[in-house]
Amino acid sequence: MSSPISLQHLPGGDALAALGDALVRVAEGSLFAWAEPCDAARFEALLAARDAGEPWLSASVAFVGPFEGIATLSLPEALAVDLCASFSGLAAEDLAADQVRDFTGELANMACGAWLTHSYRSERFDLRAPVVSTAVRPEGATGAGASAGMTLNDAPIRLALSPTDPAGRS
Amino acid sequence: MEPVSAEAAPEAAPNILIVDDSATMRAMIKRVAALAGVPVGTIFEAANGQEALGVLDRHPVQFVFTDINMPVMTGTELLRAMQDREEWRDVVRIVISTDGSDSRRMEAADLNVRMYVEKPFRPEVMRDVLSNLTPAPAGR
Repeated sequence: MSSPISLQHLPGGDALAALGDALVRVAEGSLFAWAEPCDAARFEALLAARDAGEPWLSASVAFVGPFEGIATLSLPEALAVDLCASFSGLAAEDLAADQVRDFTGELANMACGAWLTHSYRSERFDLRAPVVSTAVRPEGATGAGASAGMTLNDAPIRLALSPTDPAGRS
Repeated sequence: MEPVSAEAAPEAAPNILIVDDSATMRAMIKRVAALAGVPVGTIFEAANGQEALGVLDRHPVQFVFTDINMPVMTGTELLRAMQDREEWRDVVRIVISTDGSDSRRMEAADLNVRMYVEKPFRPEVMRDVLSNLTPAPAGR
Protein backbone atom coordinates (compact mmCIF):
# COMPACT_ATOMS: atom_id res chain seq x y z
CA MET A 1 0.00 0.00 0.00
CA SER A 2 1.39 3.36 -0.94
CA SER A 3 2.11 5.93 1.68
CA PRO A 4 0.64 9.40 1.29
CA ILE A 5 3.80 11.22 0.22
CA SER A 6 3.19 14.45 -1.61
CA LEU A 7 4.73 14.54 -5.06
CA GLN A 8 6.00 18.02 -4.27
CA HIS A 9 7.85 16.81 -1.18
CA LEU A 10 9.51 13.64 -2.33
CA PRO A 11 12.94 12.61 -1.12
CA GLY A 12 15.55 13.62 -3.68
CA GLY A 13 14.25 17.07 -4.53
CA ASP A 14 12.03 18.46 -7.25
CA ALA A 15 10.26 15.51 -8.84
CA LEU A 16 9.08 17.45 -11.85
CA ALA A 17 12.59 18.70 -12.63
CA ALA A 18 13.93 15.16 -12.26
CA LEU A 19 11.25 13.88 -14.63
CA GLY A 20 12.33 16.58 -17.09
CA ASP A 21 15.96 15.48 -16.75
CA ALA A 22 14.85 11.93 -17.52
CA LEU A 23 13.09 13.09 -20.66
CA VAL A 24 16.27 14.85 -21.74
CA ARG A 25 18.18 11.56 -21.38
CA VAL A 26 15.52 9.65 -23.29
CA ALA A 27 15.50 12.23 -26.09
CA GLU A 28 19.26 12.18 -26.44
CA GLY A 29 19.67 8.44 -25.92
CA SER A 30 16.93 7.00 -28.06
CA LEU A 31 15.59 9.69 -30.32
CA PHE A 32 18.69 11.66 -31.33
CA ALA A 33 16.65 14.67 -30.27
CA TRP A 34 17.34 17.66 -28.09
CA ALA A 35 15.20 18.47 -25.07
CA GLU A 36 15.64 21.19 -22.47
CA PRO A 37 13.62 22.99 -19.84
CA CYS A 38 12.22 26.37 -20.76
CA ASP A 39 10.67 29.17 -18.77
CA ALA A 40 7.02 30.18 -19.01
CA ALA A 41 7.69 33.15 -21.28
CA ARG A 42 9.52 31.06 -23.87
CA PHE A 43 6.92 28.34 -23.64
CA GLU A 44 4.16 30.85 -24.32
CA ALA A 45 6.12 32.30 -27.23
CA LEU A 46 6.63 28.88 -28.77
CA LEU A 47 2.94 28.12 -28.37
CA ALA A 48 1.98 31.42 -29.94
CA ALA A 49 4.15 30.70 -32.97
CA ARG A 50 2.23 27.51 -33.74
CA ASP A 51 -1.19 26.90 -35.20
CA ALA A 52 -3.61 27.24 -32.29
CA GLY A 53 -5.80 24.49 -33.72
CA GLU A 54 -3.12 21.87 -34.28
CA PRO A 55 -3.79 18.54 -32.57
CA TRP A 56 -1.80 17.52 -29.52
CA LEU A 57 -1.33 14.11 -27.97
CA SER A 58 -1.24 13.42 -24.28
CA ALA A 59 0.26 10.23 -22.79
CA SER A 60 -0.21 9.40 -19.10
CA VAL A 61 1.64 6.72 -17.16
CA ALA A 62 0.46 5.76 -13.69
CA PHE A 63 3.11 4.50 -11.28
CA VAL A 64 2.63 2.66 -8.02
CA GLY A 65 5.25 2.03 -5.35
CA PRO A 66 6.47 3.76 -2.19
CA PHE A 67 4.51 6.70 -3.56
CA GLU A 68 2.22 6.87 -6.53
CA GLY A 69 1.04 9.28 -9.15
CA ILE A 70 0.59 9.92 -12.83
CA ALA A 71 3.22 11.34 -15.18
CA THR A 72 1.79 13.00 -18.28
CA LEU A 73 3.58 14.10 -21.42
CA SER A 74 1.76 16.39 -23.86
CA LEU A 75 3.17 17.31 -27.24
CA PRO A 76 2.05 18.45 -30.68
CA GLU A 77 1.03 15.50 -32.84
CA ALA A 78 3.32 16.72 -35.62
CA LEU A 79 6.29 16.49 -33.25
CA ALA A 80 5.21 13.01 -32.19
CA VAL A 81 5.18 11.94 -35.83
CA ASP A 82 8.72 13.26 -36.38
CA LEU A 83 10.04 11.60 -33.24
CA CYS A 84 8.31 8.33 -34.05
CA ALA A 85 9.93 8.34 -37.48
CA SER A 86 13.33 8.92 -35.91
CA PHE A 87 12.78 6.15 -33.38
CA SER A 88 11.34 3.57 -35.73
CA GLY A 89 13.41 4.28 -38.81
CA LEU A 90 10.26 4.61 -40.89
CA ALA A 91 9.33 7.56 -43.08
CA ALA A 92 6.96 9.97 -41.37
CA GLU A 93 4.42 9.69 -44.20
CA ASP A 94 4.32 5.91 -43.76
CA LEU A 95 3.36 6.02 -40.09
CA ALA A 96 -0.18 5.12 -39.08
CA ALA A 97 -1.95 7.07 -36.36
CA ASP A 98 -1.87 4.01 -34.10
CA GLN A 99 1.91 3.77 -34.43
CA VAL A 100 2.33 7.40 -33.45
CA ARG A 101 0.07 6.98 -30.41
CA ASP A 102 1.87 3.80 -29.39
CA PHE A 103 5.20 5.57 -29.67
CA THR A 104 3.95 8.55 -27.66
CA GLY A 105 2.90 6.20 -24.88
CA GLU A 106 6.27 4.47 -24.96
CA LEU A 107 8.03 7.83 -24.81
CA ALA A 108 6.12 8.76 -21.66
CA ASN A 109 6.78 5.28 -20.27
CA MET A 110 10.52 5.58 -20.86
CA ALA A 111 10.68 9.05 -19.30
CA CYS A 112 8.71 7.96 -16.24
CA GLY A 113 10.73 4.77 -15.82
CA ALA A 114 14.04 6.57 -16.30
CA TRP A 115 13.05 9.16 -13.70
CA LEU A 116 12.02 6.61 -11.09
CA THR A 117 15.04 4.39 -11.69
CA HIS A 118 17.49 7.28 -11.59
CA SER A 119 15.99 9.00 -8.56
CA TYR A 120 14.86 6.01 -6.51
CA ARG A 121 16.97 3.06 -7.67
CA SER A 122 16.60 1.24 -4.39
CA GLU A 123 12.80 1.49 -4.50
CA ARG A 124 10.44 -0.62 -6.53
CA PHE A 125 7.65 0.75 -8.71
CA ASP A 126 5.13 -0.76 -11.08
CA LEU A 127 4.24 1.25 -14.16
CA ARG A 128 0.82 0.87 -15.71
CA ALA A 129 0.26 0.77 -19.46
CA PRO A 130 0.32 4.29 -20.94
CA VAL A 131 -2.99 5.93 -21.78
CA VAL A 132 -2.77 8.09 -24.90
CA SER A 133 -5.42 10.54 -25.97
CA THR A 134 -5.92 13.44 -28.31
CA ALA A 135 -5.59 16.67 -26.41
CA VAL A 136 -6.02 20.36 -26.85
CA ARG A 137 -2.80 22.24 -26.48
CA PRO A 138 -2.04 23.24 -22.90
CA GLU A 139 -2.45 26.74 -21.63
CA GLY A 140 -0.19 26.34 -18.61
CA ALA A 141 -0.05 24.58 -15.25
CA THR A 142 -3.44 23.18 -14.36
CA GLY A 143 -4.97 20.49 -12.18
CA ALA A 144 -4.03 19.08 -8.81
CA GLY A 145 -0.41 18.33 -9.64
CA ALA A 146 2.47 20.32 -11.07
CA SER A 147 3.44 20.93 -14.66
CA ALA A 148 6.32 22.46 -16.54
CA GLY A 149 7.03 23.47 -20.09
CA MET A 150 10.00 22.12 -22.00
CA THR A 151 11.22 22.16 -25.55
CA LEU A 152 11.91 19.11 -27.66
CA ASN A 153 13.56 19.82 -30.98
CA ASP A 154 12.52 23.44 -30.39
CA ALA A 155 8.83 22.56 -30.13
CA PRO A 156 6.88 23.15 -26.91
CA ILE A 157 5.95 20.13 -24.82
CA ARG A 158 4.54 19.87 -21.34
CA LEU A 159 5.30 17.48 -18.50
CA ALA A 160 2.97 17.08 -15.55
CA LEU A 161 2.93 15.09 -12.34
CA SER A 162 -0.29 14.59 -10.47
CA PRO A 163 -1.52 12.45 -7.60
CA THR A 164 -3.34 9.29 -8.63
CA ASP A 165 -6.46 10.74 -7.16
CA PRO A 166 -7.33 13.66 -9.47
CA ALA A 167 -8.74 15.56 -6.49
CA GLY A 168 -5.37 15.37 -4.80
CA ARG A 169 -6.57 13.33 -1.83
CA SER A 170 -4.17 10.74 -0.50
CA MET B 1 -1.41 -11.30 -32.06
CA GLU B 2 0.15 -13.53 -34.67
CA PRO B 3 3.93 -13.78 -34.37
CA VAL B 4 5.86 -12.16 -37.17
CA SER B 5 8.35 -14.28 -39.01
CA ALA B 6 11.43 -12.74 -40.55
CA GLU B 7 13.11 -13.75 -43.74
CA ALA B 8 14.77 -17.15 -44.13
CA ALA B 9 17.94 -17.17 -42.08
CA PRO B 10 21.21 -19.07 -42.12
CA GLU B 11 21.14 -22.47 -40.51
CA ALA B 12 21.83 -22.48 -36.78
CA ALA B 13 21.21 -18.76 -36.43
CA PRO B 14 19.27 -18.25 -33.19
CA ASN B 15 15.57 -17.50 -33.24
CA ILE B 16 14.56 -14.47 -31.19
CA LEU B 17 11.32 -13.67 -29.38
CA ILE B 18 10.67 -10.00 -28.58
CA VAL B 19 8.07 -9.41 -25.86
CA ASP B 20 6.86 -5.84 -25.35
CA ASP B 21 3.40 -4.28 -25.22
CA SER B 22 4.63 -1.43 -27.41
CA ALA B 23 4.57 -2.36 -31.09
CA THR B 24 6.91 0.55 -31.78
CA MET B 25 9.46 -0.76 -29.31
CA ARG B 26 9.21 -4.28 -30.74
CA ALA B 27 9.79 -2.89 -34.22
CA MET B 28 12.78 -0.89 -33.02
CA ILE B 29 14.38 -3.90 -31.30
CA LYS B 30 13.68 -6.05 -34.34
CA ARG B 31 15.26 -3.51 -36.66
CA VAL B 32 18.35 -3.17 -34.49
CA ALA B 33 18.67 -6.96 -34.24
CA ALA B 34 18.49 -7.28 -38.00
CA LEU B 35 21.16 -4.61 -38.45
CA ALA B 36 23.45 -5.88 -35.70
CA GLY B 37 25.70 -7.79 -38.04
CA VAL B 38 25.23 -11.09 -36.20
CA PRO B 39 23.40 -14.16 -37.53
CA VAL B 40 19.76 -14.05 -36.54
CA GLY B 41 17.09 -16.60 -37.42
CA THR B 42 13.38 -16.00 -37.22
CA ILE B 43 12.23 -13.06 -35.11
CA PHE B 44 8.93 -13.60 -33.32
CA GLU B 45 6.90 -10.97 -31.49
CA ALA B 46 4.50 -11.05 -28.56
CA ALA B 47 2.65 -8.22 -26.83
CA ASN B 48 2.70 -9.78 -23.35
CA GLY B 49 3.90 -12.79 -21.41
CA GLN B 50 0.87 -14.90 -22.24
CA GLU B 51 1.36 -14.47 -25.96
CA ALA B 52 5.06 -15.20 -25.47
CA LEU B 53 4.30 -18.55 -23.82
CA GLY B 54 2.20 -19.45 -26.84
CA VAL B 55 5.08 -18.66 -29.19
CA LEU B 56 7.50 -20.68 -27.05
CA ASP B 57 5.11 -23.63 -27.14
CA ARG B 58 4.88 -23.58 -30.93
CA HIS B 59 8.36 -22.55 -32.07
CA PRO B 60 11.99 -23.20 -31.17
CA VAL B 61 13.38 -20.00 -29.65
CA GLN B 62 16.91 -19.45 -28.38
CA PHE B 63 16.67 -15.83 -27.15
CA VAL B 64 13.86 -14.02 -25.34
CA PHE B 65 14.01 -10.24 -25.01
CA THR B 66 11.27 -9.19 -22.63
CA ASP B 67 9.89 -6.03 -21.11
CA ILE B 68 8.77 -6.16 -17.47
CA ASN B 69 5.69 -3.97 -17.13
CA MET B 70 3.05 -5.35 -19.51
CA PRO B 71 -0.70 -5.92 -19.28
CA VAL B 72 -2.20 -9.43 -19.13
CA MET B 73 1.04 -11.13 -18.08
CA THR B 74 4.16 -9.27 -16.97
CA GLY B 75 7.70 -10.10 -17.94
CA THR B 76 8.40 -11.33 -14.42
CA GLU B 77 5.45 -13.72 -14.64
CA LEU B 78 6.71 -14.91 -18.02
CA LEU B 79 10.18 -15.57 -16.63
CA ARG B 80 8.69 -17.50 -13.71
CA ALA B 81 6.63 -19.61 -16.09
CA MET B 82 9.72 -20.33 -18.16
CA GLN B 83 11.51 -21.56 -15.02
CA ASP B 84 8.86 -24.25 -14.67
CA ARG B 85 9.48 -25.78 -18.09
CA GLU B 86 12.50 -28.00 -18.50
CA GLU B 87 12.56 -27.61 -22.28
CA TRP B 88 13.02 -23.86 -21.94
CA ARG B 89 15.85 -24.09 -19.44
CA ASP B 90 18.52 -23.12 -21.99
CA VAL B 91 16.63 -20.23 -23.58
CA VAL B 92 18.69 -17.08 -23.06
CA ARG B 93 16.67 -14.44 -21.23
CA ILE B 94 17.34 -10.72 -21.66
CA VAL B 95 15.25 -8.05 -19.94
CA ILE B 96 14.71 -4.71 -21.69
CA SER B 97 12.84 -2.40 -19.35
CA THR B 98 12.49 1.17 -18.17
CA ASP B 99 12.60 -0.27 -14.65
CA GLY B 100 16.22 -0.65 -13.64
CA SER B 101 15.69 -0.71 -9.88
CA ASP B 102 18.00 -2.80 -7.74
CA SER B 103 15.20 -5.08 -6.55
CA ARG B 104 14.00 -5.73 -10.08
CA ARG B 105 17.53 -6.56 -11.23
CA MET B 106 18.03 -8.98 -8.34
CA GLU B 107 14.70 -10.62 -9.07
CA ALA B 108 15.70 -11.00 -12.72
CA ALA B 109 19.01 -12.57 -11.76
CA ASP B 110 17.12 -15.13 -9.68
CA LEU B 111 15.04 -15.94 -12.74
CA ASN B 112 18.04 -16.86 -14.85
CA VAL B 113 18.22 -13.57 -16.77
CA ARG B 114 21.55 -13.21 -18.53
CA MET B 115 21.48 -9.49 -19.30
CA TYR B 116 19.43 -6.51 -18.15
CA VAL B 117 19.13 -3.56 -20.53
CA GLU B 118 17.56 -0.32 -19.34
CA LYS B 119 15.41 1.76 -21.66
CA PRO B 120 16.27 4.11 -23.17
CA PHE B 121 19.16 2.38 -24.86
CA ARG B 122 21.26 3.23 -27.85
CA PRO B 123 21.04 0.82 -30.80
CA GLU B 124 24.68 -0.18 -30.35
CA VAL B 125 23.83 -1.57 -26.92
CA MET B 126 21.52 -4.12 -28.53
CA ARG B 127 24.20 -4.94 -31.10
CA ASP B 128 26.69 -5.57 -28.29
CA VAL B 129 24.20 -7.78 -26.44
CA LEU B 130 23.63 -9.92 -29.51
CA SER B 131 27.32 -10.04 -30.36
CA ASN B 132 28.18 -11.25 -26.88
CA LEU B 133 25.49 -13.91 -26.83
CA THR B 134 25.49 -15.33 -30.34
CA PRO B 135 28.13 -17.62 -31.82
CA ALA B 136 30.49 -15.99 -34.25
CA PRO B 137 29.78 -16.87 -37.89
CA ALA B 138 32.29 -19.13 -39.60
CA GLY B 139 35.39 -17.23 -40.67
CA ARG B 140 34.77 -14.28 -38.36
